[in-house]
Amino acid sequence: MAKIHNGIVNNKLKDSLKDSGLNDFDLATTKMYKGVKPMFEHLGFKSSTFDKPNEQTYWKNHIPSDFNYFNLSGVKTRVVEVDGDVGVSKGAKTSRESYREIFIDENEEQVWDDGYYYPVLPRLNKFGVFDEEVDVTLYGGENPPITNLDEQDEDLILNLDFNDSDTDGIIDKSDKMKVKYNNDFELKLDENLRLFNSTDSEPDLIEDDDLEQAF
Amino acid sequence: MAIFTKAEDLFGLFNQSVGGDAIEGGQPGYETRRFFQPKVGLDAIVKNPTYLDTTEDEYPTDVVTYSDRRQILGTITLNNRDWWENSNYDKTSFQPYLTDDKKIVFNQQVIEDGNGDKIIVNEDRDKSDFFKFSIDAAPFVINPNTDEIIRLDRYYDKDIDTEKYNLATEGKINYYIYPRSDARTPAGNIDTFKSKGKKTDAGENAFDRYARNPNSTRGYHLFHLDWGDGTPLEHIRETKVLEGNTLLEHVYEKPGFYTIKGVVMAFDGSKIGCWEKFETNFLLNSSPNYDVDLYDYENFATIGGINNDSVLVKSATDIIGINPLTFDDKKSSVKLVENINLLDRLNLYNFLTKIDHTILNKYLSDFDDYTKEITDEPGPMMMDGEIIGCLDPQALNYDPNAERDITVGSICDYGLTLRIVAPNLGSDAPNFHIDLYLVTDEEGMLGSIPEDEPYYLDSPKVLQGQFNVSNPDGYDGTLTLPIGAKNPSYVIGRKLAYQQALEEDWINYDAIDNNSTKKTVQTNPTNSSNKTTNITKSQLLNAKRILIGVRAPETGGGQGSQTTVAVESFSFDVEAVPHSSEDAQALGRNLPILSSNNVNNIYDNVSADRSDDPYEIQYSTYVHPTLGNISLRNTMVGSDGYLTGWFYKLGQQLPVNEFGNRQRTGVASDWVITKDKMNFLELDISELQDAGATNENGLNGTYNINFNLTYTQSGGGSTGNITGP
Repeated sequence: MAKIHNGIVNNKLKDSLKDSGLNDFDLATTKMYKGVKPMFEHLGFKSSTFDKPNEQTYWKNHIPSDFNYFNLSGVKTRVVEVDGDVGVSKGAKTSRESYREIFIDENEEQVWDDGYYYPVLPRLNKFGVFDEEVDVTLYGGENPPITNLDEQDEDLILNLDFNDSDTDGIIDKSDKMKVKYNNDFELKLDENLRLFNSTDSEPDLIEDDDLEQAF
Repeated sequence: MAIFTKAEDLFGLFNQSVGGDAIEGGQPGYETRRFFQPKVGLDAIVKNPTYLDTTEDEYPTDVVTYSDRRQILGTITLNNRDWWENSNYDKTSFQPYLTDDKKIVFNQQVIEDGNGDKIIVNEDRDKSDFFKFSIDAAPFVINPNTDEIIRLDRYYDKDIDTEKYNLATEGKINYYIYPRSDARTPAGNIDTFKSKGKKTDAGENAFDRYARNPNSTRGYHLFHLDWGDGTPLEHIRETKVLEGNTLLEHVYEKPGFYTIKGVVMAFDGSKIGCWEKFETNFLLNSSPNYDVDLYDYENFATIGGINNDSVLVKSATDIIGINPLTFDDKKSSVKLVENINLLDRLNLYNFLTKIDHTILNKYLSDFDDYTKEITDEPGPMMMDGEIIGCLDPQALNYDPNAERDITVGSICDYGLTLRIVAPNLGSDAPNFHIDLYLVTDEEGMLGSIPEDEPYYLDSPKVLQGQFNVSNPDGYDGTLTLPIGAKNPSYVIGRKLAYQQALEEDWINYDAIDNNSTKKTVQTNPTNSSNKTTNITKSQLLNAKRILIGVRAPETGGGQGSQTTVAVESFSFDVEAVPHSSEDAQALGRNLPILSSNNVNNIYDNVSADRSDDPYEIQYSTYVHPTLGNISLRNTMVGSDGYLTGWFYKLGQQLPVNEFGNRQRTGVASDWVITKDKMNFLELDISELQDAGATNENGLNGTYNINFNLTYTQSGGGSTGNITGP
């Protein structure tokens, strides 16, 4: 027995668009891969070691959003008391109030509190300046997939390219999918009782203001 | 896969567009038939017009149920051809489209067909076979890469038959109309789905044959063609003569289900013989260029979605009668949307099902069959009800599946067949021919006995070369012997000799063939099928006599190797051939009462020769009325030219005949009759039981008549006789 027709009305997609209205959102890089692509790979890490939670280098072992440099060991503040003779020999002298200054102890290791590993930063000198360049290799590479607009991957089956002025220019850079931008339109019946689209479809502009992007 | 070459070849390419052979039922014992053709959306139980348990004038062909309720694709000829004048009426001008000879048709009438429906028939339809036809057609496109013909009257799935689906889309199509045989029952109704052969005449397309005279308008004419897409009607003022290479074209701007309608009439040059209306249903799928895209995607991802407040959803629901704001369906019904093209409806349903399937509950009946997966297997048997058939295992047409006989009488057939079987004499044995002569004319095969030449003339006899007074030595005169004169060439006793040797009703072997139907079996044939032959009940009962003879093979070989084969005896035994059913075998069978007699009066090579007794004499003188006694002469001039004859013994004197003569019988001993007596059996069927119902101890079915044969063979270098089995 061979199937010769699946049916014109597809019951398998029943209610597939129900309550799917989503009309006000920002859209950034949109990719789709064949199979599962773990986050550590998105971030550019090659080894699965970076996907093990008990490892210090686990990709998710990054500082919480409320962390700042003061959660870095060796970076602290200290109180500077009222100064004495500051070397002014003449005139009236107004003594300064005590204040707190940032103190970077160059002899300390400079690790994040609570065992967090990322971001891995170069050492700060006492002036608060990195002694070295940031080593991006410790973050999965210079151009990881998550931010690479020109990614080449066999498993990449959709890579929307918004680098155009309007929606007619949206394409799949992987060249594997048809991309269609649908506008709302009105259906009507003509004199022969045939359906027709009574709405002229115009493309929408794509926002190119950096400040209006999704991130 | 049909490949397009040229239009002339199309007639031979297409199968019947819809219908064909039933997959269930259809035999006379079944009230219904099932037609299954999923590619066109056909799965229907249809009444069987040949059903046995119907009245004589009842020929039902209507559909009982549709299991597949999709639109049936393909071409059908309409049951009711309607009044011709209705087809020919232009509603816009209130005038007929066609005038003159095609304006009206005489002698139309309304009849009630085999389904009880009223249809129009015209008397002329019975006057020619050309007037009895049905119409089939094939809408198609051609695959530009392979020239494959893609029929449009088929459902193609976009994933399974992707290429055909994508080609069967809106745009230009081809349309080929051709004739099939008449599908109407004796009551006039059409058996729409039954198998119909292509209509030909002398092996050619009937369209071509009927239009073969280029100087005549005779032919099948296409009239009133409606492409079904709102474009103007075609061939309404001028009909188009259809030929085998007529290929029509049309461009459809939109995809959809379409119905092409038209009329084909057979015009004999002066009047319309008949006409038939036809409809072709087909489907054009949506191409990627079609602008009404209702999210008919199977494998997709969406960013964003469709809001119930969108214009699209509101307008879609509004078109089918659902409140676009509340989705309330109180005012909606399938009836309201039935005039919208089916493909548009299905697209709307397909779209709205994705939005919220519950709002389409009222429309489910309109599209439910289009949601199902279709396979090429018909599924479980659907025929139900009682199967009519012969319940008697003894009968020839016993049907083990039958549940009852017909309501009145019986359909059992108790025919009788005798199967003549030649004996198996071995592969080295001579090939005897056993001939059964079913005599059709007993008188014709009787041998004749030649009449004697009378002793006295019963009619004047003219002799040439006789004495002439004017030329006494010339013997070129003519002499007419009168009635009563002695016959110079009398022959008597021969008839008596025949009668004594052969008797009156002897059978001339050479005349049997021409007065019989001969059936022959051979004991050692080249083709084994010649070992048996059948005699039907009617052949048996219609035969005046049944004679059986055995022919030995022709003797052959050269000097010293010649063999002589002679039949010693032959006879037969009767054996019932079991019915195929075990039930029938268990019941036992009556054997036919057949006997045989030797037939002793069949002769071949019969001839009569004078015996040694008669001797040649000179004819006695004739007493001429004026010349006195003269000698009769033969045609030779001279002294040897006297007429001679034979002297036969006179025998008995017969009574005076109508000519006043008393003829003589002669004596049989003056003649020797030679003849070859042929050995024949005659099958005696006078005691044969009726070939009829079992409960009357009749005969039913097939019986073997097994022949037995013994023979002798001598010569051929061997000594003594060889006796066959």
